[in-house]
Amino acid sequence: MADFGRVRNAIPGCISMIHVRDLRVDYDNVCAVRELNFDIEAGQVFGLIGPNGAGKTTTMRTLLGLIEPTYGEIVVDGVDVLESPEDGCKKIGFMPDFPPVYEDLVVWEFLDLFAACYYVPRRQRPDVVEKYLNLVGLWEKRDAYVPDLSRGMRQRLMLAKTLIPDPPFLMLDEPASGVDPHGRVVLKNIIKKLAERGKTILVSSHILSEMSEFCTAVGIMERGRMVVSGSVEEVSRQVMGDAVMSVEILGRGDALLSNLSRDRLAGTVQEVAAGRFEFTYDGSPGEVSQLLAVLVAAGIPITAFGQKKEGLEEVFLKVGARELS
Amino acid sequence: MREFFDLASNPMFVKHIRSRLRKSSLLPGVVIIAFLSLCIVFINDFVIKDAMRNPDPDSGSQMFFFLQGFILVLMGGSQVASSIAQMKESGIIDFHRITPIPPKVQAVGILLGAPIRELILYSITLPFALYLAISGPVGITDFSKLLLVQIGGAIMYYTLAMITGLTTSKARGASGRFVAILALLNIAAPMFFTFGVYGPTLITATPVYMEVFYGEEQAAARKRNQQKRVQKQQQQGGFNPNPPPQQVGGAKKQPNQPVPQNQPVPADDDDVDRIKITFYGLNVPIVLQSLMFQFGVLTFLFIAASRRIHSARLPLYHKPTALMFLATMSFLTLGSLWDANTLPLTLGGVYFLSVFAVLLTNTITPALGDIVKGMQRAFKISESRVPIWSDLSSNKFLLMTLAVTIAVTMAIGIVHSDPNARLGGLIDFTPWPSLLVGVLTILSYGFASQYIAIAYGNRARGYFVLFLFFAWFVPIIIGMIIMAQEREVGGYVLTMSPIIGITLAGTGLPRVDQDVLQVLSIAPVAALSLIFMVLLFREERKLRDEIIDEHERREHKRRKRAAKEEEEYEQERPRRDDDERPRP
Repeated sequence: MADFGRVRNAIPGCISMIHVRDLRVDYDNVCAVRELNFDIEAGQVFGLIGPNGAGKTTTMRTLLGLIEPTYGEIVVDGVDVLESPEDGCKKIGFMPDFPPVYEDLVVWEFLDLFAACYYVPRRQRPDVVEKYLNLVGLWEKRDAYVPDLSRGMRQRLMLAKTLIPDPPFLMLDEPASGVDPHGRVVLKNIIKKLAERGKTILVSSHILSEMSEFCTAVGIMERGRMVVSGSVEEVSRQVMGDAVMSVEILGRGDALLSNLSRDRLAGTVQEVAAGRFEFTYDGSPGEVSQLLAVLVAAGIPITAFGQKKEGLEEVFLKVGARELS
Repeated sequence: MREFFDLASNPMFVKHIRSRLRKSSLLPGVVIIAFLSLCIVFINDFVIKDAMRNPDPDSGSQMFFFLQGFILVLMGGSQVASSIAQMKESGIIDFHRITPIPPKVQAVGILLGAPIRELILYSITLPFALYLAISGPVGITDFSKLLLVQIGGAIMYYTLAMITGLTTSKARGASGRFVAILALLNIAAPMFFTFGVYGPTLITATPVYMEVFYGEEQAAARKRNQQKRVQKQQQQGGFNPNPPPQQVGGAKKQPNQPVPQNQPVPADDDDVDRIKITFYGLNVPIVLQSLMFQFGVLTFLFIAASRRIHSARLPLYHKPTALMFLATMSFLTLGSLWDANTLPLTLGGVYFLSVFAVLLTNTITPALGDIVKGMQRAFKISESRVPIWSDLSSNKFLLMTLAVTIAVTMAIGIVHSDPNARLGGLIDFTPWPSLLVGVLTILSYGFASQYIAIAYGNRARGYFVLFLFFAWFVPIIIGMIIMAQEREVGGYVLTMSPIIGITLAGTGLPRVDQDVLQVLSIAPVAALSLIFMVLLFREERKLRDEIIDEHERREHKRRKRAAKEEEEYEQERPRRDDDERPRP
């Protein structure tokens, strides 16, 4: 696919499922993706977050080999997809936000077509079609014409099509976009099931609350660059600063405040509600455990103690605000 | 290779078989075509033969030729164009792009699968057409010729339709655009043919059609049959109450005079259209030449279609492939015009090859994004410039190569042809200025299109249309207006458009100074070529400087950030060291 002199950075011993280095994509005179670097480990569910025009879809389409990058390196499961796109495409399954389908085929014919496209032997195809129709809950609709399916059903049909070659890496671009709440729950459960089966999944979505439920890692893109990436906790910590601890106690908080003021790892304590306090804590999990033991030993009537989970929305908004500033 | 021909295992072919051959949609078409075929046979055998007393009618065969052309080319081609355009518009083609099936195999599947219903309808007409060919004057040989050229042409048109579908932005307009191209080709072909420029028309079925229905051999055979019948009738009764019609130059006459006894009907050779198309002077059958042209075009169109199926952003041709395409067409065109006089050879060849080169230029002129991509990539690998054969390099080198190819091809033809030949003995013709205008037109078009693409980005299309309007069409409009009052001045203005200039530079105009005409034909295209070439070089240099600046700025920023991080690291060292000490 490469026209001439594609830049390769030799990365010895690359063990990630997805390995992207120094990726740049230009459209006309616009640089859609610039110097993008990220890794996705095998078995991770990676959420790609970013506003419209951040370069998420371009990144996905480049990973697929649909767009030739200006330069950079993309390795999927050990295969350089730019050097050998034929091998690369067997490793990747892709589901776009708006599922394009053949309007003149019935459901089983649609899946059979793509099974043939991935060289599934003719005799095995009916079994493969049945397996994936059952997985996405469309077996009853196998003889229905594709245009007769609802949006959610089409999305699931597309997911079944995506799974046919049994790729180790799945890319889902806005999988729940335009799907009703029930359809979303079904899709979410299927994605969870696939993650449990060890698939590496890259999901881009605007519904951040749902993503935080199944993503183990996230990357936030802004104006073609990956601003921050890593596990949800890491990103949260990087963006929001030290971990925020939340403590709920019975009665007044004088004893709690005096104990915390003596701990040099604890930051300013705020009473956010009656009997509920929050403070930043720059300590390891062991030190958090030690702190709890000290508080209990001091006789403070604790009813709840734990690290406050920052939602992806807060993280995303903070990154967005930081980028804009 | 096996995969290429194994249609039963071709997923795209199977998909179309399933979707397009459902009983409910196939049956009405089959019934209608069978009925129409029966009607044609009835009209031929009962109305024309019996009621109109024409013993040797080929009207039925001609009707079948057009019906088959309509089904096979028009309906089938439209289907291919709309089918692939819908795939593109819905985005499902991207799924096929990322499957391991090679693009060429997919292209074959779509090419033969999308028009499968039309191919079946076409096959229904075949037995009827064969019956009329055998029982009528056409015969099995000519029937086979028509069949070959129809099928060869249909596959070529399907590939063209595929490219049309792949390059059209809206699916709804794809089949319309294809029909327009088809109409243009099939209107232009007979026009070229009438002027004795046979070569380029071999892409279409026109030459074979003319040979079969109006050719010398066909007409002579009919006359021989007619003679036999007249002699037989004379032996039987002397007077022929139902005289057979005569074929004269393709038009049919119904003579009503009685045929005198013992006088054979003369073989009126002057009335017969002579079609002699040789290939580099060799007597190669027209059908074979036509198939050669169609195969040549088909091969290169197929390459383009496969590339577009592979990726939406790839240009239709690699630069070397585009050059090979032009070289092939030049070789075939020159071969088919080898025995023509200087005037049809030069004008036919220059017009055809120039139009062809202009179309090819569009396929190898990269957009601004690709030029930027090429320069960025070259910069990244520390290359001073993008290789000239790369898809991401500007078109200027290839453009010059295309111009040289045409110039050399036509120069060979002109040198070989008879320098004293005149059109009907009336017009003096000097071929070299015509060739020069043709070559410069290609250069000015190519340089302008590349310069405007780089300078104006997304707005380039509009500006380029404006350029073409002013450079090519305004002189024609103004020239025509002036010509009504001032013939000489009008002629001078008219010739400034290369569309007319190619002809006038060679033929001149009566009562107009030919030297001035030649200068005014050559000067505008030469000036435009030079201006746009300079502008193109300047724009490319500007773009390269911008990219270098961008990289330098980024490198400067990166160094600054690294220095700042280093500074922060140094500042935080005491606190970090303190943190790392064990707590009491």
